[in-house]
Amino acid sequence: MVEEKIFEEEQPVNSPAAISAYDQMSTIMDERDVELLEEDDDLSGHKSLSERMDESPNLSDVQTGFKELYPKSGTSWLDDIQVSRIFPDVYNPLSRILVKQLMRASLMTKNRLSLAEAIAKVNTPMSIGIDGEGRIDAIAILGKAAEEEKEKKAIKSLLGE
Amino acid sequence: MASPTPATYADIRLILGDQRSGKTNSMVAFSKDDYYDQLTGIQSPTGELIKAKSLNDEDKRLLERQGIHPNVFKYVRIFKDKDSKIVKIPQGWQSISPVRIFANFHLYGIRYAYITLADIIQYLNSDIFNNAWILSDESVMTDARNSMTNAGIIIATLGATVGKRNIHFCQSSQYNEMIERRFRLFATTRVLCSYEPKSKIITLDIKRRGENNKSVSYYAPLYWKNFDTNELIKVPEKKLAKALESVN
Repeated sequence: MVEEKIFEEEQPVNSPAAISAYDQMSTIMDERDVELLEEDDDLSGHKSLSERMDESPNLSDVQTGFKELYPKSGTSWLDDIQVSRIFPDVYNPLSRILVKQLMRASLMTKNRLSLAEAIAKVNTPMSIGIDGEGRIDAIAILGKAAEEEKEKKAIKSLLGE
Repeated sequence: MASPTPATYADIRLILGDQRSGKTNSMVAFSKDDYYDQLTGIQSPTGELIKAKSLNDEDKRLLERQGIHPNVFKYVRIFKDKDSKIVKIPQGWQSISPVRIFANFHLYGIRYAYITLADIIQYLNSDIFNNAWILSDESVMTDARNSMTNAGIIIATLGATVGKRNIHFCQSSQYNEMIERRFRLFATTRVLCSYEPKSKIITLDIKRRGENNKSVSYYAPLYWKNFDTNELIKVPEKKLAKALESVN
């Protein structure tokens, strides 16, 4: 089996004089009494920063996924609809209300929306949010990302890294 | 996909955030975690040293099965003769680690060396900082307005050799432009901090060169005992004297 690490990086060394200088300069003081913490608080359930970093998924891919799946429409209340629950029986009436509102709002601006444009703008977030599918997809993406990270960790430990 | 991390890199971390957003807390967290990760022993108040190691994954699972949260700062595996067991670090005992930490503020509960800019200049040609953590708070050491002073030029020399010396250099600042330009260019990791006071959670957005962004949250009180958030970094006396001269 070919060795993967042929060249090992050499770490810079510390001379005995440097180590001795550090021993003289350094000190260790008792931990502070922090009033906000209760006595004998073992901070249960809380992991250290490095443990959290090992656990956290690669958020950038998740963020990229979210950006594609939940596009910004430029209207915040329309964006919120993507992660709301829209029941199928209210889909059509709600769609009509939102289209009318968008068109009325656009009358006051330079960029007036046509009916087709308004329908297209409304349909995207509503079709994501129908039956709460938008929220379900978000949870699935996050869960998948966490699973992938766990798998990567398991493989690394198998390989002895 | 982002390109893979370069094979070697200089670990210079800029820790940015508003005041009281958890910057110093995060600097302490990075170094303390490394300190405990490479633990070699625990020492009693009378000087007795027992060989010890930080908990590994198996140890953590063992503790969890017994209903104990595996706090890596409280529990260690000790080795005596040919036996080993997991114990809670007794009150008053100190954790011993080969990790060396230099900081311009005071740390508690872990071994460290308090330094100022003068110490860095004095020891620049030695290898004392090799393989060590340097924690620089409040951008005193790397202030942008000092870039053309003698001290500023010297500290930039250190910045340019962080990789060679294998230093983990952490610089905290409220905004990017406070830090000298060269350090901003040297930086390989940017960490943006935010703190939620009700849950006491600090969230870090970490951007390391060549890697994807990472966001991680942790419980801030885990590190409160190790530093004083109200500590002020002293301004050198000569600078104060100069400033006084200019206003008198």
